[in-house]
Amino acid sequence: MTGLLRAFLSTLAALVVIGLSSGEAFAHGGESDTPASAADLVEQTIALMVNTPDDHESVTHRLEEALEAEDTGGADMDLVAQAAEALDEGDMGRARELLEGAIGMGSMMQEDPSPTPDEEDAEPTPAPEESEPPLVLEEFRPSRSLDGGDWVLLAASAAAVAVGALLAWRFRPADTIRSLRRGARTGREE
Amino acid sequence: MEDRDVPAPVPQRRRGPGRRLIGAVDERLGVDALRYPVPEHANNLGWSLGGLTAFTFVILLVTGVYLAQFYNPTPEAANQSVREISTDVWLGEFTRSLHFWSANAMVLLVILHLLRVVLHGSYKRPREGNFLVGVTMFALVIGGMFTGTVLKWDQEGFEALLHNIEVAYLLGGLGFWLTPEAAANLPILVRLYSAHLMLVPGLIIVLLVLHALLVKRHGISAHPSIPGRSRELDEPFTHHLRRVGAFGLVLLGFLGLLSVLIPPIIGATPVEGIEVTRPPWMFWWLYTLENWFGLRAILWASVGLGVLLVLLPFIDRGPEREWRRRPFVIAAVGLVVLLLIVLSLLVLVTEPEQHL
Repeated sequence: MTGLLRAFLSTLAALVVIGLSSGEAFAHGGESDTPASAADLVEQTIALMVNTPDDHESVTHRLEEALEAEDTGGADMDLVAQAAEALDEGDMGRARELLEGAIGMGSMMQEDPSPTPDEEDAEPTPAPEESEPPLVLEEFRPSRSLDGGDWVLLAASAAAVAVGALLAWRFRPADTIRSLRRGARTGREE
Repeated sequence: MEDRDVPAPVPQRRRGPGRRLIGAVDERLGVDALRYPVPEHANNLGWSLGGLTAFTFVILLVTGVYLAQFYNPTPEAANQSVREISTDVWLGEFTRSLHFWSANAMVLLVILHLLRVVLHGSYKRPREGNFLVGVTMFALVIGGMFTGTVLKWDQEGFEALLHNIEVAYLLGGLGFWLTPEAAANLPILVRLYSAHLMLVPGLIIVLLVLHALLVKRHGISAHPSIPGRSRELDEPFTHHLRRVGAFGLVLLGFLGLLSVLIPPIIGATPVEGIEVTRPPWMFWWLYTLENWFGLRAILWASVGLGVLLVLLPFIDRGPEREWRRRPFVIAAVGLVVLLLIVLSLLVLVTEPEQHL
């Protein structure tokens, strides 16, 4: 190892040690010993319902924590209790609606946009920009059905593969590695 | 007459307009310097992996510029703006999908390129410096993948960011830039966006130029199993570029097919306090280690792998480059690769756990 490299590595090591040891200077602001509020736990329950709807145990556990939270500010605990009952009855959709109501949010579930006859007679719903923004948007899965533009892109991509393969074959090296190796061996024997 | 003493003009072959154009450009920009000789074996697929990695980088730049016109990097709007790119922007879904698949391809190709370099001992003297440049670019590619994951601002990206912040705290002063305290008046998402757009690609471009110049300076390394006395020809580097371009066209087409047929999903908007997602595949090995040993394992394992890569050319210093004649180094590298694969596959049978 050259002296220059040794000096570089020593300096680097010293910098790492100084950097790591100065960690205390930047007090950790992320962790908190304060127990989560009921509103936070309700929000997490909704997120669990959205992300892991099949994990009933986690959802129930988080909802129980919300019910037992000391800080109930910002959450309607009656609605939270009703949501727990709905969850026990296996109605996760209803439970989620109640939880969203409990922390002052409207329903965020993706609903059928076509109105029922009753809804047509009712007052018009507010325009999207007037309605409350959703708390937890559902996962967005782009449509897998192919339209005309998709077929054009597929055809162009397939053409690129074909033309590229043709050009790669045309521009291939004159000798393969195996033939070069064999040639070198033959030359040595001669 | 004096005319008799004038030598007859040498007949010149008329050049086509394409050649004349190249000649005119070369006269002014010196592009002919790219015709430096490289060994014939450089035109094989295995030796074109570095070029293909650069090709995916170009795809990422083009698609990234388009996506940046519509992406909103504020936490309140980021996830929604990605959805709108997919639904409202002309070719938005395809562009985002192509960006996503190209990023994955770039990581895969850079790993394969690295393995090819290790297998053939291409990092040996005098190419140690260029190997370190390459390792730095590898780290930047992973950094680009990480920041890109965070930018979509779904539960997966948010959890990735929280892990990153916690690891930054563990790093102390060295990780300060990656903590929210570094610029309290600005959401960290915005800073990561600027890093994704400028810092990461900017540094990759600078290092890519240096990498290419050093390749020219030292030449493409000889194939260890082809003796120097073989009849292997030299070809101009432009022929290497030509073949990389052909392979790149195949790759682009393949990525285009993937982009149309399997567009990436956008996860639910994030909520703090839950851990329910798995990271992208290149971080799976770290995810398993975190499940076993806690958050610190992410830091120590990443640093450990980085140090091993940096030290490799200084540990394996013998002149031998044929892999069969370097059994200890190849066995050690093989063990590390096997370990990374096993740790990654374990994610498939591991349930996400709460760490933060």
